[in-house]
Amino acid sequence: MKEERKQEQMWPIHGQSKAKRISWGAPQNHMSWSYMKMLREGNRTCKVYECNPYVEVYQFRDNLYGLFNQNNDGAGDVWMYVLIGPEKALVIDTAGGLGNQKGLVDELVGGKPYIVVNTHLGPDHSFGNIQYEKVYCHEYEVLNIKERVKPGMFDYLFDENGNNIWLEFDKADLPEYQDYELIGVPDGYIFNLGEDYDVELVWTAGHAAGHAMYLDRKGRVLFAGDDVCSDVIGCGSGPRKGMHYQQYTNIQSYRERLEMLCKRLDEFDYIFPGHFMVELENTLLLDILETLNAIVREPENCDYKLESVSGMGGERKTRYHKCVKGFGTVAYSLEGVYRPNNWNE
Amino acid sequence: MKYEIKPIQSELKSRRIKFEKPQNTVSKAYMKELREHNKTRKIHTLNPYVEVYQFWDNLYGLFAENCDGMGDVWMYLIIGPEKAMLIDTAFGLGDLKGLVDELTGSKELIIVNTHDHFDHAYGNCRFERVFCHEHLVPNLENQHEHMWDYLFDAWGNNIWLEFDRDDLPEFKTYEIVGVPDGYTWDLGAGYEVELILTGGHAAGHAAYLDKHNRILFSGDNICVDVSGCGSIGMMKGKGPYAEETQLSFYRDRVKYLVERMEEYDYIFPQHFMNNLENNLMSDILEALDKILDHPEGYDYKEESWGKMRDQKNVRYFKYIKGFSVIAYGMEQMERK
Repeated sequence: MKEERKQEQMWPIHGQSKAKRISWGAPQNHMSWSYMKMLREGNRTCKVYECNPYVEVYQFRDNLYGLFNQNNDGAGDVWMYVLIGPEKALVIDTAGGLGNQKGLVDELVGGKPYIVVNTHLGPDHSFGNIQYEKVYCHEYEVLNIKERVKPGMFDYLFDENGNNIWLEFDKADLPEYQDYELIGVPDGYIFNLGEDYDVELVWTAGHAAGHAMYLDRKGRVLFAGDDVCSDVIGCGSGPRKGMHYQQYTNIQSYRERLEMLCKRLDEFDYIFPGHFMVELENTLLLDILETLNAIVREPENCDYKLESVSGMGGERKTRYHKCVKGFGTVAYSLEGVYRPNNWNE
Repeated sequence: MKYEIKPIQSELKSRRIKFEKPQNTVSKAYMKELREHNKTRKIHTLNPYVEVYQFWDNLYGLFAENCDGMGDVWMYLIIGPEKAMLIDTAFGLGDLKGLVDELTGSKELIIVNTHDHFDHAYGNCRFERVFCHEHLVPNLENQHEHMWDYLFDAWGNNIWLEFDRDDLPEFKTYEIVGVPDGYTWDLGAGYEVELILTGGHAAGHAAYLDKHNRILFSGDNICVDVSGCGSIGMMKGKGPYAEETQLSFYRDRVKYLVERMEEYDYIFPQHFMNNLENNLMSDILEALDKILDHPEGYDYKEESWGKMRDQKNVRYFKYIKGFSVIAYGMEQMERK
């Protein structure tokens, strides 16, 4: 009766995707794992299309699909979203790009034209960009994405013998690199999907310099990227070397943007983040704001510290964790609390 | 901005009027996804108050809305080779016995309680005989024909949940059988379920270990919203075996459950999130040890006026890593 298990927690979920997990980076929390098990094993809308056996497609609304991708590296599995408006569709994030993602999107939108946008740079959110001709993001994230999404970008997924490190998949199913147009737009930019169906880019900073959320005003849904996460919200890493607009990857910057969003809670009901739990009630943002306020007041006063490994490998680092009431935690470093003064690119 | 609990699409006959307390984001998101999208969900005509979920081949979760303003509740039905076991009976709204018989094909049924609270044991009287830990017996014996009255206002209207009063059971006495810690039932062909005394949330509170499916049904001590699993001191006047509602008592039982983690994979609590992995138990133990080591080191507290409005109740909260919180009281802390 007892299954064979390689690890103490995060036991296999019986999903329908073709890829199989080899190993994880940092462990994920109890709640997120239990939720994903329930969703992936029990959701009646789950469908895997022939054109892309790596993606589980869930229908959350009449016009909203969640595309579940296993993370190609050791970080958490990831959501991308396809939102279908009266005339156009919007594709939010492009995950790790495994399999024929464009073919799948084409099938879901049923011939409608569509716009592709990124919440932020992240191998698990923007590597699929190369399957499209044109992608939009916040203006502060353009250079960060351009310098990372380039030939050789998938190399880190394999060891010296060419074997997959974190996720078992067919190497031939990764897309060939191709140039595409990446267009930066400012905070508040509106993508019109036909008639009065407007989706607004809301710059939030935090997890990435140009991290953006997308507010579906018509459907009253906020796509929150990685600045909301039922496992760990890593929104205070501090400046990362060699990247751009790094004065915004801190708690203070995200806090200011979140405070503004909290004044707009009457514009949306539910939040769909980039990882794990979805359909979270809008008032969660108030609880996250409360946590960020507490961190800014007393950065040293965290709930616990953890040494963690990145999902992309690399050095271990100590992260401070502060719990969000009724949710997960916010993780930060002491260099990632306040915005640095006189920052020069 | 108003805090609220947004409605979940439901085809149950009952309708929520109001909740008494907020529930956390995770609990609401979990229940919304499960109830709106789960492929096994069924409502049987025999009992329109219960959503039936088939979690495993022989394990059903019976979801009922809480008739008062607290969180909605799970009952679990295990179907063994020869006998079936129902863990908890909720408020007894609707034909619970008929529903269970339909699911089991009228197999012989063993009814057990995790504890005596309204939302777990008021349906007992729909059955002839109920088992529980022996320390729970005096509390269950207190049930009476007026125990549902508090669900209605002075005009007879439902307060928290809209349902037909005629669908509540008619009270009758039933046989209450107390058994000791470690008592084991055989559901046929060696399919064993063991009662494990935990205390904590209530005196005589028990968990049930399904040794075949390797599942621990943990009652109300583990909850992804708030785990209320005891107080620092002994609450006086709380009835027989009140010493079991001390955190220190519960902590020792959790230690015991950690030592037995090899015997179960998943934990199924009686509210909200279930199918939690066994290693959660170690994180709970860690949080309990921290509380007992330094009760004043809580993460946050909440104050509310007590029923008599003459004194403030204070509840203290401590985070469980990767999960939710333990809530505890300190008012009657024993001075050393």
